[in-house]
Amino acid sequence: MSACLIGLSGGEARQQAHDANVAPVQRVVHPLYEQLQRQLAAYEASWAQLPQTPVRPGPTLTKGAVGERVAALRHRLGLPSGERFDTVLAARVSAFQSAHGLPPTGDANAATVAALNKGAGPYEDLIQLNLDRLRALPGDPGRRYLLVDVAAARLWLYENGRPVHSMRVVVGKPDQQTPEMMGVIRYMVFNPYWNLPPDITRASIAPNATKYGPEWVSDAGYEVLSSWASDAAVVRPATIEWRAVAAGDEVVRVRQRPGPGNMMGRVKFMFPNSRGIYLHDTPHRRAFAGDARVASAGCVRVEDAERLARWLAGVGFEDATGAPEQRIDLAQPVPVYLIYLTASPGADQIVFRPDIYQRDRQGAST
Amino acid sequence: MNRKIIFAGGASALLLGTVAIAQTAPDTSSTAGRGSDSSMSSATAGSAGQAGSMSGQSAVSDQDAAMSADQAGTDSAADADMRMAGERG
Repeated sequence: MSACLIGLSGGEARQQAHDANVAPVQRVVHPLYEQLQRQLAAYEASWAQLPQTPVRPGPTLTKGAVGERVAALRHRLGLPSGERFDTVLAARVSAFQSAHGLPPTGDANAATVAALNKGAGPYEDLIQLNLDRLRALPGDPGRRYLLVDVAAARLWLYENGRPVHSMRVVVGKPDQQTPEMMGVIRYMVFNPYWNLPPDITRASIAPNATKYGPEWVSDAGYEVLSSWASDAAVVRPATIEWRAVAAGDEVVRVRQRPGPGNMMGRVKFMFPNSRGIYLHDTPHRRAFAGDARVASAGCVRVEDAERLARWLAGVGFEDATGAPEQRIDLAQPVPVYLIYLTASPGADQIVFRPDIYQRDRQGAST
Repeated sequence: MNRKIIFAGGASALLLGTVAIAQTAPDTSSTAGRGSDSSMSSATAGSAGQAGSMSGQSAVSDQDAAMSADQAGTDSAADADMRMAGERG
């Protein structure tokens, strides 16, 4: 017999289930959902109850400023009336900025005044939208799993319900977006080939083969295969009508040979899917610098692929030989969840992030 | 919001973009089920997550079936589709 103990904390549910001599049901939402829900309540208590007085746009207000705009700002932020921008107001402005994804300068600049004038409602709606996104995660995602927040361009390694490590990732460009999806990593491949999707072959291989001749394909480190069957043979690039491929009239299977310049880097992590989305290493390290890590064609490039390989299968790069395409099966397949959060739970308050793919408006209208 | 799970073709992954997942009893036959930790199986607060009709675990079971064929060495149309999708990089 099972019991549904909705509305109780985990500990309360377990205790009540024990008292009632019934087994508690499976967790229904992911812990991140609960955390964001709690922080939404805290957000509403801190910011949604304040008077939504408009502050007239104008020059940046800083400490020492006086006037009616300062008076409006003080009222908007729930401080005693007055016309002076003092230390208390600066701290309050800084707290508001920090809670709304703005740099906490303490100065009421144009972005801050715009956020103040937007009011709490749009932020609450955005948090609700992200709660909906978190509902897509299973309540019990597995003992070990990977979570990629595409909007944050970051990967977390979870073990026994806790993140044990995190690393930066590079996600798809806005015109080649990384989707929200789940998969199960069952194996990884050291020293891999990069198997090109037909659209990339058409856009970046065929024009060069047409311009420089078919020998360019081999010289640039690529191979052409006879079909998409598992027993396809390598064929000479000269046998392909590259002009037709560039025009989209023909498709051809192309792969990049393993090596230092291979797009997959030294290892790729496989959860086969028809969208061609994977986690992998990369030779392009500079893309990990900075906050805007949107440079891939949709895959997730991981900053520390060796650490991930060790966590998944207990093997590192020194365990690989020079042979191409060395497949390592995981003893325990590991789920991977790709989500997109523009408002996510932080250590003590909600973290708002740029909507890099402009999905918030789309999500809000559904 | 009423959301649906969409299979990413005949593949071993699911799109989550338009999803809400209802959690049901763990599917211990699935890979994810094997990975579940009983200490996490307690009920929790919140009434969300009730919509939908397919759990993450049962979705993973479908993947298991597809991958079993793969491991058996059969080369299905779905396998060829996935190969054709390539790796976007």
